[in-house]
Amino acid sequence: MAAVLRRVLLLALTVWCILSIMFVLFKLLPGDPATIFVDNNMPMEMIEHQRQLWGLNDPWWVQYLRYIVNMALFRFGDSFFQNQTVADILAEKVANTCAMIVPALLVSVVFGTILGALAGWKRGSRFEQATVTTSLLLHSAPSFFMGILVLMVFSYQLRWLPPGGMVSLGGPEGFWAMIASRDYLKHLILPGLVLVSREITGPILLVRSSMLEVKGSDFIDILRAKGLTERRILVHATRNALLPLVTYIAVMTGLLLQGQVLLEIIFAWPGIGRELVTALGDLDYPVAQAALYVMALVILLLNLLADVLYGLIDPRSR
Amino acid sequence: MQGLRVILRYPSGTAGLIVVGVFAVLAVVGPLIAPHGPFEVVYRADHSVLRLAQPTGQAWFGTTNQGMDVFSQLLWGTRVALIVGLLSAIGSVILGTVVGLVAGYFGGWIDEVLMRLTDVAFGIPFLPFAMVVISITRPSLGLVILLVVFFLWRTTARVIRAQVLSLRARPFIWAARAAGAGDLRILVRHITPNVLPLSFLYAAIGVQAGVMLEAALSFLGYGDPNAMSWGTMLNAAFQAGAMRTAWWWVLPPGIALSLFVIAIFMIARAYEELLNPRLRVI
Amino acid sequence: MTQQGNGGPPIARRTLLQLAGASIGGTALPARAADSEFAVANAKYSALYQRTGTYYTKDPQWISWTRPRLTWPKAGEKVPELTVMIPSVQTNWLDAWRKFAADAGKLGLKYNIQQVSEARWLDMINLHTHGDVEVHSAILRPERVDPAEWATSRAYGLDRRNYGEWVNQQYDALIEAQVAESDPAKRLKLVQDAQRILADDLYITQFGWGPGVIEAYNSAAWDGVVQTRGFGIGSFNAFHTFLRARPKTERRKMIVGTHSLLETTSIIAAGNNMRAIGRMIYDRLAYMDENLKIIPWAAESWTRVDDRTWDIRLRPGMTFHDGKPVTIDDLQFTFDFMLKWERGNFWTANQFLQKTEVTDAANGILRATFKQPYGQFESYFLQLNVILPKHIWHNMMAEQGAGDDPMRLRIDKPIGSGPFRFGRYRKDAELQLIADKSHFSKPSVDEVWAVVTPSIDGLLGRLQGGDIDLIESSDTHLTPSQAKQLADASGITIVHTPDLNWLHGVPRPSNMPWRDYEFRRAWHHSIDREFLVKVVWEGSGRLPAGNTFLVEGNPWNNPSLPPVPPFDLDKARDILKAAGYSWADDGRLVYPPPTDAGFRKRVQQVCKDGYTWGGLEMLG
Repeated sequence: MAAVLRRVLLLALTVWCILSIMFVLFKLLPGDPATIFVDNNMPMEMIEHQRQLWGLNDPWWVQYLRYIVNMALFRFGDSFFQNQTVADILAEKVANTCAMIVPALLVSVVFGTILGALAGWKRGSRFEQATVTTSLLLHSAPSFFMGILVLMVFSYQLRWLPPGGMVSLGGPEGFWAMIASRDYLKHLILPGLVLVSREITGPILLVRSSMLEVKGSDFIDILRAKGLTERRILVHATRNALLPLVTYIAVMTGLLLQGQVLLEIIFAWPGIGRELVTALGDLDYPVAQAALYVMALVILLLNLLADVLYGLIDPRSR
Repeated sequence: MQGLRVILRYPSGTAGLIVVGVFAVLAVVGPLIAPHGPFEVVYRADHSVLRLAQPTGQAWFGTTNQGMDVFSQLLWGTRVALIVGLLSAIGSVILGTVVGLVAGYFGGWIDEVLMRLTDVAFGIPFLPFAMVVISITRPSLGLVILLVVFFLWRTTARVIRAQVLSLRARPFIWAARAAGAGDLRILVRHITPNVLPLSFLYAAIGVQAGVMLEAALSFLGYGDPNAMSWGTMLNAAFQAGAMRTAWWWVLPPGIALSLFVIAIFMIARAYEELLNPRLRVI
Repeated sequence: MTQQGNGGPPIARRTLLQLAGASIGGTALPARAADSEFAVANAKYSALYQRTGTYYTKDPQWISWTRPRLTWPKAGEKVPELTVMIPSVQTNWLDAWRKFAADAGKLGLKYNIQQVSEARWLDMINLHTHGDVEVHSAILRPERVDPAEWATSRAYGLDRRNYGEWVNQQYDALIEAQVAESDPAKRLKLVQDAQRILADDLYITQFGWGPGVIEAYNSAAWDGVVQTRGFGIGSFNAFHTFLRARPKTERRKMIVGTHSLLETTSIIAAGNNMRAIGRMIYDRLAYMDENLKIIPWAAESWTRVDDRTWDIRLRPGMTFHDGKPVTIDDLQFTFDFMLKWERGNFWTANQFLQKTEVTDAANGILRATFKQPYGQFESYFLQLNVILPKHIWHNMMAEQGAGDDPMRLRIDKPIGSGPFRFGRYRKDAELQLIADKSHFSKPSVDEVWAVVTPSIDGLLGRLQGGDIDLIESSDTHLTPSQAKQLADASGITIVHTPDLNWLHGVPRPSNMPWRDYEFRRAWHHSIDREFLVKVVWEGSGRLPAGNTFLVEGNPWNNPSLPPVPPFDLDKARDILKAAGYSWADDGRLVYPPPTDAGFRKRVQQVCKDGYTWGGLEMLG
């Protein structure tokens, strides 16, 4: 119990540090949103008025306290330019980002596990070599170039798939209707492919090595002696690899989120990464700040999850 | 030396070394043999600009929409990649190793503070964070390297710390302490040599990450405007709407980038086997 | 190398100043201490430096920049490094400046060209801490055809967007006169005279007129696109194509690809795209045709009563998209609303408005009275103002709890009386505009769909594939090489429209070395404009015929301006030599000696002989 409490407190401390860093950064950001937001023709008095409205004229510590409290309570306020609450904007964008990441992760885990299990089972075979090498190469290739490449080939040259976006013109309305449509799947294929090519490496290697361990142990003889079929043994060995796999996925998803910016730009995917870039360009501080915060929070929580899971797997690590 | 021999035992490691070697040579001599400057406009004999030309005798890899020579830009870009890769690797590994050593050896509140710092570093999404910082100041290669260093040290620090923790419990450290060695001496003479191979491994990974992150930032338009890097080239092609047609402009920097990072990766993996087969993180 | 304090760390200037401001309890205090250091030739212009907030003489960065530049150069002092800031998105500007800098190097001038984020660039030009040359391009909007937009904002001595702080009193007198001149013909004369002074005194220099407006559209499906001068065929700012294009196929929906869509659906808070699209939904009072001639729109006609009063006659028979008729009460309400609450986009047009009253309800006539004689009635006031439906808006501020800030209003489905109804909308993805067939402009298309495709490759690819009919052109024009790629595709026609674009550089005549007219003259000769037009713009542009923002083709252009000093480094060197400049051993340009009387005189008077300087004076 104490350990859990300590974890949570540490997390809070880390979040507070990150929030403070962000506060300083955003204070230093150039460009007075008031001067940029208002029309060039407007008199200085109006700009002052706008600054007052946004609370930009308060002393820094008032702004800081307000900021920390608001962030802690997830009160992100209104966007400067979009006439919408930041929470609404982000909720939509996060959903869109998930619509890209989640299917890709699922595919990676399912197919990665199968491929990894087979590779481990057929140790030393051509198949094992090919699987491992290919996945390693794909994993280390820069994903934004992969994105450009698949776009060049499948969208611009062959014209098989749309060059970005989430749905075509006049697609279904509403998030879930969209997710259920074939049109969305068509748009998902290319960015999904790039993501899977990166993410599938982990499951393959993890499951494979777990398989190798199982095969090398006495355990397997016991199983054989018990009369289990090869297939059952395969399943059994795979199950052993699942917990490390989850840990791995938690960490990878965090990393993935950071690189998501690039993929969303290349594939014109209206997710949180692209929103952050746009908001930065427009000086929409509340949106940029909240987006950065949400991303950091997700990463931290996933790291925490990974830690906890790791503790479950390997008690020695305590 | 022994490390090199081990790497050479793996065909992939050998291939990686050769590729990286070629890039290193190009980085040194490239700008000397490049037919044009990175921003120089190439003219035809009739003084018209050689614009978006396919690969020809005059421009081996073709030209950009502004009539700049892709081949020359690629060569200049190699130097930028190597500089960024090396400096960010060196910086991050030194920082990470020192933090790891100090935290792991001294433990206690020092360890606590340093590890909380790494926690913070782990919570910051790099690309968005880097974009914010570059918006505050102005884009430059030095800044990009600095940012990459601040991004990379955290992993090194954690791994080195773990290694130090296990070393500290080893008999030879007790022996050294019993012989009257001070903290500094133990740290420098006995522990550091044992974590250095690990640092080298992370340096290799650092080169790869540094080059990739610089390319990513430049591709997003946050790179140094006066340095022609591979990412800058890709960004220019993307901005110019040349990806549909000008394959000769997109593929060279993209392939160079991929080749380079994959080669480093292969070296790192081969080296990793040497260190500890169990270390094989994926 | 730089003498200025601009190389320092980007400290939290604003934060520090806010602290300072908070501790003295306000921002409107006139700061005396700092002002005493800087003097202006004509006291009227101290108003610019006395503005509220933390600007100019109250900004340590501005002071640290300006002070050395207003100090007399010592014997043998080199002309300082000249700083130019370029926003990093403007890669074309940088390409041109690499060449300008190389050429200037041959004259002994050294540039310090810095690429900064667009946000930082905006911040710096707003604070006048951007260095020596402010680079700017034209972004056209209907109301910006009015000459005041550039002639006032970029060169009038009291305007904060006059980034070089150039104060030519003769020019300013003309600018003040033209704003108050309600007779368009007389106003044109004043504006043309002002342009002549601007060009004659060698303030701004036009680098190039362009880039050209090149567009492509799906001519297999559409006929009769309308080319509006300066805007092209596909701009939501000049939406004639969307009204008049004729479908060649069964499909009567026109699909337009855009880089970005609406940042808001409220026209009050509109930043960029909604400003244009909003005026397809809400009718403006007057509009312009494809030749930029002002045409009646929701106002059927208007009569000038005197130089500050007009009668506006509403077009009869209009209805809002919810079926309610448009009445003169709606117009009256709109002005009341704007005057009471609005201080943003509309304020530029309404700040001079004193009052409005319905003088003839039966015939739909409203009288608008201005606070002073007003010259921008047709080209600005009527262009910018729209009609809001009173029955929807009259209580909106209170209902939505927007306080006194109409920017906070949420209008999810705007209802106006314009040619298009707001249809289906998915943020950052698509917007459907449904033609209102009962509208007086009689749109011939049924629907216009705006579809977001953020990359240029995506846009071109979709055009080629027939997925979109044209590309919204207010921020995306094709380059000649892009047009060439598309020209081969079947069913696509490339259209070139005469443009009103320009790219110019604004040096800083209030500071050294720009105060010396002869230095400015030499500098104007150092710019290779042909490189910009031929190489960077790929030939899509014109060499400027005069140093004016109101380029040839603009209704307000002065066709007989002195020619732009041509690119001629020898000439530039001769001018500098004759003016007393010399060169140091390292090749850098050196100021004339302090004893040079001609030099001292030129620096003191800043303007060319015959004009009177009103701005900053040298220190000591």
